[in-house]
Amino acid sequence: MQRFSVFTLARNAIGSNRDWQAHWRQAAPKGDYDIVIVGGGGHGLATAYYLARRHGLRRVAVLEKGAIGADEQTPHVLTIRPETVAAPAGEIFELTRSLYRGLSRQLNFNIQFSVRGALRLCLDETELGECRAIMEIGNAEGLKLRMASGRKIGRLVPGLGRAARQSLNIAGGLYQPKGGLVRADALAWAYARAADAQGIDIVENCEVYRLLRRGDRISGVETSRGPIRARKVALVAGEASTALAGHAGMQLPLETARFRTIMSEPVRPLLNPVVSVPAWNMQVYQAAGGEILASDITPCRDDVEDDATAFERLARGLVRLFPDLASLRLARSWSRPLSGTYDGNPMVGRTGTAGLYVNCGWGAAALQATPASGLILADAIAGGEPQEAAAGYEPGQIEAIALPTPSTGHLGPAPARAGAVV
Amino acid sequence: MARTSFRVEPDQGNGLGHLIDRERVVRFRFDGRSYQGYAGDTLASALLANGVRVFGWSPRLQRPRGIMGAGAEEVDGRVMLRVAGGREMAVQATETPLYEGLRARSIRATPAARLLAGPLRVRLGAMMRAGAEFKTFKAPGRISWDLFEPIARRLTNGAPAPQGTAGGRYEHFHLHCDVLVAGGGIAGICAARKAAAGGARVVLCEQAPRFGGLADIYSARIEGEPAIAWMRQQCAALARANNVQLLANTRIAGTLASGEVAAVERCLDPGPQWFAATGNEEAVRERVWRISAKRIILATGAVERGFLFANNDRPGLMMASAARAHLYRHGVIPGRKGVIYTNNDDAYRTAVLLRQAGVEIARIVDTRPNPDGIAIGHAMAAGLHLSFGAAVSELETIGRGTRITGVRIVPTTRAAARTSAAEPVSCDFVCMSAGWDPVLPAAGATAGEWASPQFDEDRQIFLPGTSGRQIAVGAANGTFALGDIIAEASEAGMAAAWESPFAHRPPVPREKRGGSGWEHRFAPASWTVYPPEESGEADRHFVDLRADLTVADIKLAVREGYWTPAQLRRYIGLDGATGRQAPHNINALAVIAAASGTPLARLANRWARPVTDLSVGALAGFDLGRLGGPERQLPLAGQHTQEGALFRKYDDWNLPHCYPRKGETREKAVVREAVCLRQGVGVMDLTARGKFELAGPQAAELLAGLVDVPATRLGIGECRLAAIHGDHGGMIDVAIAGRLDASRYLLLTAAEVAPIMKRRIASLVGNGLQRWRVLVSDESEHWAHLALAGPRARELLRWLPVRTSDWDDAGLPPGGLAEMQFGGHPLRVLRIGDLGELQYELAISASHASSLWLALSEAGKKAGLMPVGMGARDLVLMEMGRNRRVTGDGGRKVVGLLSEDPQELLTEGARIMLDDALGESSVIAHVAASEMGPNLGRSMALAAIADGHALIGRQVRIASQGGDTFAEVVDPVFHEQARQDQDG
Repeated sequence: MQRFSVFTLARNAIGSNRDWQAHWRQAAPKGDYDIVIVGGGGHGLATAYYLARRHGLRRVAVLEKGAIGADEQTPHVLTIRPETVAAPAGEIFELTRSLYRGLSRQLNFNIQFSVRGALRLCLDETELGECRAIMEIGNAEGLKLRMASGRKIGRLVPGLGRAARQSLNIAGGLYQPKGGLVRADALAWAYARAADAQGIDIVENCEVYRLLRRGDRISGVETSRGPIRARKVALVAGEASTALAGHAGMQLPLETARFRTIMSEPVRPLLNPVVSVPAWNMQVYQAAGGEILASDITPCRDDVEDDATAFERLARGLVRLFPDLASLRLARSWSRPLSGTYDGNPMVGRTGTAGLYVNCGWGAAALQATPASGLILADAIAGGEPQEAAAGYEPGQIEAIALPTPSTGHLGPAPARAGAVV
Repeated sequence: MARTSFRVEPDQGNGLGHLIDRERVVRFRFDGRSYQGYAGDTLASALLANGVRVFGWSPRLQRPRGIMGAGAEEVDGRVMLRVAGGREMAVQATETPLYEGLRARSIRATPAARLLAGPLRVRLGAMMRAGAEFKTFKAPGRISWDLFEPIARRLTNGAPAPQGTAGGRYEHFHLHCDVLVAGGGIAGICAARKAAAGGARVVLCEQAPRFGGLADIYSARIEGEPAIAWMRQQCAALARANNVQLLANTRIAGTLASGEVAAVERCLDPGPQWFAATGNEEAVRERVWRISAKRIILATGAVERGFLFANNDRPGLMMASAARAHLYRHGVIPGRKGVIYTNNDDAYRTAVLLRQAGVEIARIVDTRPNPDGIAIGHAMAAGLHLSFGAAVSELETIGRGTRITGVRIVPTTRAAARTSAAEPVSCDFVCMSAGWDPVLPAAGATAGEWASPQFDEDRQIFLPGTSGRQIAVGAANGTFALGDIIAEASEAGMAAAWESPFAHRPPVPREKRGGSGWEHRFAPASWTVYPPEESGEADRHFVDLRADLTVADIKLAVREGYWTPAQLRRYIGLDGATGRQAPHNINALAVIAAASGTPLARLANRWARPVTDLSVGALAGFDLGRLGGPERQLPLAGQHTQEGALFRKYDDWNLPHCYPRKGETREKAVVREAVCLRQGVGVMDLTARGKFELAGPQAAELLAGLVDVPATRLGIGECRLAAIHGDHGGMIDVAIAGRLDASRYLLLTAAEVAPIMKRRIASLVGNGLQRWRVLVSDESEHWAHLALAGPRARELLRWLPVRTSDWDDAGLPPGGLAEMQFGGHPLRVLRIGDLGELQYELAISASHASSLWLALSEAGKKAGLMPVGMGARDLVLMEMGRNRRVTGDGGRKVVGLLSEDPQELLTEGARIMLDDALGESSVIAHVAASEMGPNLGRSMALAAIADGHALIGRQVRIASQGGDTFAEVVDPVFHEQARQDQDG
């Protein structure tokens, strides 16, 4: 891999930038691999990278339908939300957070991890109470959360002066100084480049049509670029995983919700922290390029709130928070499907079909758990069982890796049907 | 030098400056200097007339920029418009009408940032190539992104956010019509005229303030009249017609999922009125029209394309059509001596016109080797110097790129380029025209109807896709000859009126030439960089002016593996801004195509993406005061207020939280009311409930599908509590199911569950898989529900003027449901509740609820009745082990926690630690809810713990930031426990 540094930048500047190479090879699929990962998003590429890095497995291919990091989706992810710590799979988010810190250097690619601070606004007493509980949980996990008074909110977000706070009935807030943003697409590119450097084939323009079976084992995949044999296949294709698993006779208990975002044209720096208003299911931040983005916190099912209504809600929330922005022009909007399990716990690991692995059901957390999710799946594929932190990893970054217990690991061929009473 | 030196003098009959009124001088200021213009000018034309070429600086490289267009097609040219009090907003100079006292400033970085960025960018320019930020600042330590990012954010030269512009009104309107014509140029007006004549209801939208499009920059005659005069007559006729609605200043923003077309009307021009609308809820700033149309005719026209050559972003470079528009409309010339760079005939019109206006044309550079036709003849007759088979390779400037001094011309053929050197030609402005691209409508946020443009290989342009509902006509369809445009548009208008579906893109047997003999074809490859062998670097050949991206930037990124437009948008910010013309940036696509080896046609669909070209306010709509659904009020809200209720918002509903007495705190009031529920009698308003009546032979079956109740075991006149499960199992809440008679059932849910229940009924009954013989009516709005709870509830009921035998267990047993009359109106009484007390729920039609309330208060005087709010209800429910913040599921069960010290309140969110036999402790859950139990005389807490029931009786450690304490795991129904203790 061509190293990126100030020195290579300088050398290339002298050489008219002629020496820059492709960040990853445009690999043509070979006929046979040990492991095939279906889906070249952040999760799939992270899995590939950790397979090579932690387990020395290099006969691996990542198959991507389109191009890497070209999804129509919100370009940023929040590194961690305090409330996820309280969730049953909280350890994963904690692990993700620890991984993000050194990731740009480790992958030699700036994923633009930007620590802005995250501010959650409370509009009544009940929400304040919830925030106090979140603070209690988060601080026990070392998140250094604190409650923000009205004046503190005014200092953090200059637009929310006293008058604005009063008219919005802002009762207070929860501030997370270490909260921040990561570029989701940069994360995918960084993993792709690092995985490629380890010898893993990243195959773009390769759509997987169905899974191939021999007996009760998965033997490969049928793709738009021909059949590819593999001993193990991991489905990390988000939405598409459901249909592919269906071909293998397995019904993934997932439901799809949509995650909506609106983005304005760029303006000068105006807003530093990520501001969220749970009462309006909205979070607002300003990207490095100056665009102001308002997006959902929790994805919502299409039949509960359709896209148009959601975009209107987000715009209305933005105008209520910052009335001056009413005349700002919008540049873009996204509605991204995210499939999640009903209890919010992801499914990562082995399935009842030999040789088939899944990583799905993250819901909105998909955007926040990429590194840890890849690492856990890589361990599961390589070892069959989840492992403690293995050799070959930079020490001090992970203490222990524990798989979340619910919904993880073994999936029977016929999981619980929707509507069944648990 | 005279200030208005770039304005031509009015001449008899040439029609130059037909929009300005030379009698009315308008004074304005730009960047601190005062200027003069005329009424009817735009800010852009007035500045050009005063010789101002630099309108602002580019965001990344801080290069000076001017304007290239004359109207909405301009991509750059934004300035800050300001009024007193520091209020300002970014506007497009070409779309801002000039007014007396206008103040504007150019958009530029802060002086410090310019000092830093300017020289630094020049020195490090090659190093800080687009995308470089991904390659550096990776360390988590000192020289990190944390440190650099804020600086980088400040250095970018974007427009400041609008200031002092809050308020104003943004309306949403619905409009129904037979034919929607988008674009009010010649094609649009022809189509609208024919459709209206055919009897259709027509809506004609034009984004400019005036109808007519580019008709005024062609000296053509239509039906014997000059084009402008003809257009004015037609517009007047359309305005008079009853079945035509003309919407000027209205832009098509996209299609909605419903199939409606969203169009945004700008109701106030940027200017004093616009700022005056601040805080004025009556002043309409923008209006969103949601248009339902049976047929859509796209007559959106075309925009001129530019060439790629070195320094093709300098102020003084302009589109040939824009130069002509400024001259015809405002009498403004772009300079004294110019070069015209073209690959088609249309730019010759500009050359000839400028010559007539007294401008020296140093050269016409035409990339076509042997063009012929009328245009060439006109140019030759005017004595212009022509260079065929030649191209501009570079623009030369002085004054840090602010003033053009000349161009370098090279031959287009490789052989000729080898023998002859680049020829310098001096000039002070350049007009270019590399052909015309149809305006593809912005795809809606959801609909794919307009999202797939077709690529015309022959002419190398993208054409809009056609469907049964919509058709493109005129320049928007790649038809450029006037005669063809009129014929095509009229035909489409007639077809639309007759409601016949549009044929799928008519075969184009059009004349290659328009009636006037002007050649409308152009040599397509506008993206070829000359001379070819030097195009390796091409780092001053701008492709995306908004994002400051050059050919070299794109080529490098493609070489690095980012070969789709979507990736490039993210990696280097190609088309990062609104860029209304961005979909037509065919030069960018062509560079990508050439660098990646992908056919240009294949990139078209990848380019299409949802564009939301409207303001935040327009999307939000006029009612900015509230968010998410209407605020719902109880029918008895007035009575509650009389009782001194303190309201709180519960989802959509505004419900009484408590009824504090004089001098009583909220907390005290809640406790008093909670005690009353257990010791006296309280009345709660539960009208917010969801109420459904299910009637029909299959009502019982449907009920069983909705909630967990064996409906067959529900006798007539009975009701019971029934669990509601989530879509994937897990109890959400408890409902009340009752049976009114043999085939009529009642289903009552909590307010927050009502929408879920409604949806579930719709999905069960409405999925069409089974024909249900059941009638479901949502009666939530019809009934008011008042609940009486407490040991003295029955005593109170006896005082109620209701004719009934008795309220004893025999008359109305637990789980009983009775229908009776109150004041001549039906009254339903359910003896049921979840508070663990004697509880009755009285349902009466909402319009008669006040009389029941009055009667209850009368009767209540004797029984000590108190109104009870939601706060007390929540506390009493928690005594029953229920709280909305605590839900169990398959693995986790809700348990109670009792602290060792009864007066100690456990911290919500504290960790619950269990010590195992080895003395190691692990966190098993967190405290979810913790309150003082008003009737328990001690604190209580709830948590959901995996296998929680197995832990009952165990002691756990509660670890919080405040320190550790101990608690016992108990059954969550604290009240039951307390009562047993009392009894025992």
